[in-house]
Amino acid sequence: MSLNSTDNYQVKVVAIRDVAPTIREFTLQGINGELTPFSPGAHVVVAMPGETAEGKAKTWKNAYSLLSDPRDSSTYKIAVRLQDQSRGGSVFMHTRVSEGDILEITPPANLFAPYWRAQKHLLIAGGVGITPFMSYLPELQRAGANFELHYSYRGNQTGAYAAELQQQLGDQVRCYDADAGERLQLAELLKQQPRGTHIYVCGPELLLDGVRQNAALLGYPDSLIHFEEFAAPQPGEPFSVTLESSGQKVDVGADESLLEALEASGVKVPNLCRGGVCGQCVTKLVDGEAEHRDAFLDDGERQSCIMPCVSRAKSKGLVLGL
Amino acid sequence: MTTPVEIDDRVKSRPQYGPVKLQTSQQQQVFVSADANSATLQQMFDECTDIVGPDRCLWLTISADKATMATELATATAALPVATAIYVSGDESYMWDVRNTLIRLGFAPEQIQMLAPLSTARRLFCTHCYTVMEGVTHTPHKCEGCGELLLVRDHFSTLMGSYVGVSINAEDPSEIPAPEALS
Ligand code: FES
Repeated sequence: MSLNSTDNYQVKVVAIRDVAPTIREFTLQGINGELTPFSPGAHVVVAMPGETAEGKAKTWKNAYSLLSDPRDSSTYKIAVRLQDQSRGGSVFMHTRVSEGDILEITPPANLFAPYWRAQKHLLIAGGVGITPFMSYLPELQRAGANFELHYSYRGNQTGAYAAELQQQLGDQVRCYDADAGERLQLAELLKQQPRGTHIYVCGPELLLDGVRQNAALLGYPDSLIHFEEFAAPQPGEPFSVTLESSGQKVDVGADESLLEALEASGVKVPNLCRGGVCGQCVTKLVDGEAEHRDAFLDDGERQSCIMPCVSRAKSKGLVLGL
Repeated sequence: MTTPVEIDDRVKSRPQYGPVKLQTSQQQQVFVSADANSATLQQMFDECTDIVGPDRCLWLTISADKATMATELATATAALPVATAIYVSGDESYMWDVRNTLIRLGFAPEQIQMLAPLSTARRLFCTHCYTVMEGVTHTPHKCEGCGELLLVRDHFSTLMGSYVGVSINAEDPSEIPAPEALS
């Protein structure tokens, strides 16, 4: 029996290994059926039942790219980087999960699929941003596509899979270890790209900005550049929201997101990426001033909407059209 | 999320051609026409050469015949970088053919700019027999395929670079309206 693509999956952690000093890889197997194949660039959201620093029970939900071969439905693989400023999700994965544990994940969803009509695929990864490309590579190779991977990292922290990629892909991959003084020259790289190239970028904000700036200088058309930019929600000041329909009040703690707080009090909000890019969680903002942290709404929409997966309140309270 | 509603009775699918601006940040500048009869394009080319230098400007004379156009454009643009700005001048249908061919070759729509059409002549697509006619200047126009008298509408298919024609006198074929020049 294979699992359907709408209900959450129960998965068993069948293997854990460290693939870089701060990155741990988890192999997951379906326990009530076979997992579904997915498309390159897809991610799943992992539910992590833990507790806050104050000892309150709390479930974190983070999105992680699948990095196994998309056609292999026997297991999924994800890799988690221990974040210095983690709100708990990555700490939970690194310290609380062991082989044999059961986790709950959503079915795969994809916000970062390759553009198959491109004549060349230029993949640019930074640090743990290598993960979505791990599922690109087998498919690009099967399709006989023209591609190049440029992978920069700090060897003292990240750099997962660099050696095996170099071995498998030879010239098609270039690695840059910043800790060894190697630098990816974005301006040079982008300048050389031929007609019909699509560019895919995943990594830290600094890398995304670098690509954005250089591409703008060269006059690259926006539609040829694809960013995977979901970031885990960042903490902020505590605040509270009121639901317009019921008058219910929900308190949002410093280290939880508005979406998590809503879910914890039984309010269901549709969501997919939990990182401010997909648009699923858009919620009406009836009153109050929001601190927008998403990459989805435009300035006009920001007057009357909020993305609760990442955004918070600037004023003490908000009224939501829920 | 609220956009003011404006009533506009123009047919929405009819393309509008605004003033074309040089995008000099793009590494390569390419000027395309069927023959050298576009003074505006020539002027832009000269101006561009002054700004970015002749090495980064390319003048292409490309056939209006679709099949020839496809091979000519494929060869002429093979070595161009992603960061290329393209300016096209000619009849409306020619410009759309060039644009569609370039998009198939991997360029993005936003890097291709079309100048104002050099004439009011239209390509016309008969919705009854699918015949495509070039250089139509008046409406109604007798279909060269099925003989139907066609009203030349302002509806434009970007994919075909063509306006659509529909029978103007289906009820009473003896009714023959006086021809009007197209704008
Ligand atoms: S869940 Fe994707 S934007 Fe909020």
